[in-house]
Amino acid sequence: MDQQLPVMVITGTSKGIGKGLAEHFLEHGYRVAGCSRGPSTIEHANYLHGQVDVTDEKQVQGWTRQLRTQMEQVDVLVCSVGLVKSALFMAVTSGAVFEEFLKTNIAATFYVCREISKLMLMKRKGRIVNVASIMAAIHEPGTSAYSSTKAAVIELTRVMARELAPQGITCNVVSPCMVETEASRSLGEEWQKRMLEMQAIKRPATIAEIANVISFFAHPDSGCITGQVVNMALVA
Amino acid sequence: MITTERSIELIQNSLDNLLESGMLPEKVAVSLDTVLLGVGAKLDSLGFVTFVTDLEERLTRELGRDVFFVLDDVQDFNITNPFLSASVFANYMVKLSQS
Repeated sequence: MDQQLPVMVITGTSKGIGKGLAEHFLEHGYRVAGCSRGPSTIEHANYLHGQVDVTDEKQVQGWTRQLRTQMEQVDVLVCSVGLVKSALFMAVTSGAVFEEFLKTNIAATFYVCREISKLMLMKRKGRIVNVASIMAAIHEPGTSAYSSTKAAVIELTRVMARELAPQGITCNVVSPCMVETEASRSLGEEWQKRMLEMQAIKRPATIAEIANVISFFAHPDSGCITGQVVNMALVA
Repeated sequence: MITTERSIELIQNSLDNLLESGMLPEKVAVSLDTVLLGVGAKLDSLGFVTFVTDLEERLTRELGRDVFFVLDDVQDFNITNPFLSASVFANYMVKLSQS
């Protein structure tokens, strides 16, 4: 591993957006520390994988302690882990389903941001980018659990942005529109079509386009940009 | 396991580190009565978080195993009226080292 390269921590790197982002930033000059519940699906000299359930507070603490030893610093954190699954109208959404969204989308983001921000505080610099979704701005029926937890990620990020700004740490959100992933494909063609109809730009975003927003937030010249949300393909 | 005296030393080391990095305006000579959080503390909220993180790391190294501070577990710590003295925190560290 090239110790001179900046370090980016990305959650949920076994598949989907997280994996795509990890591969992108490995090719663009970062050491990447990723994690997922399962084993690594990425092989790269500058990639370090942690088998972690990020909804488990203790596991997150243990993992970040390891990162502190192995990487010594974290320059950028990207919380991309999230639960995407079909759900019903709120009136018939079970408590179990809602809690699953709460744990994966907001509790996991909270734990990882809390622990990694401590490492950044020690260095008095850092960039945190949380991945939400344009669904938080659309209010689409049938997404009460998903959208409300993604909206919570946005609010969490804004509060963190104010708390951490004095120490040179910025916190921002990228809210992707539809992205072609295993998860979005599993929701079916009809859902994908409806999703694209709601977007101002009626095509899926690419991983490179999401990475571009993250690169902007992570750039040294973006030190004055904090608490912001970039909605992709949407006028919100 | 560590003693109260050693805990106070670790607290002193952490605060010295914060002083060096500019997060603390002046040197604090730690005694049992030193206020770490609340009225009379030299650290602001963010400084306190940095201090706790640094101290957690020092205690982990000292004990040779992972240690995580949970402020809710500190005896007499009241979240609605946060106040922590060095003696209370040192006692917490001693208990943590025994667990």
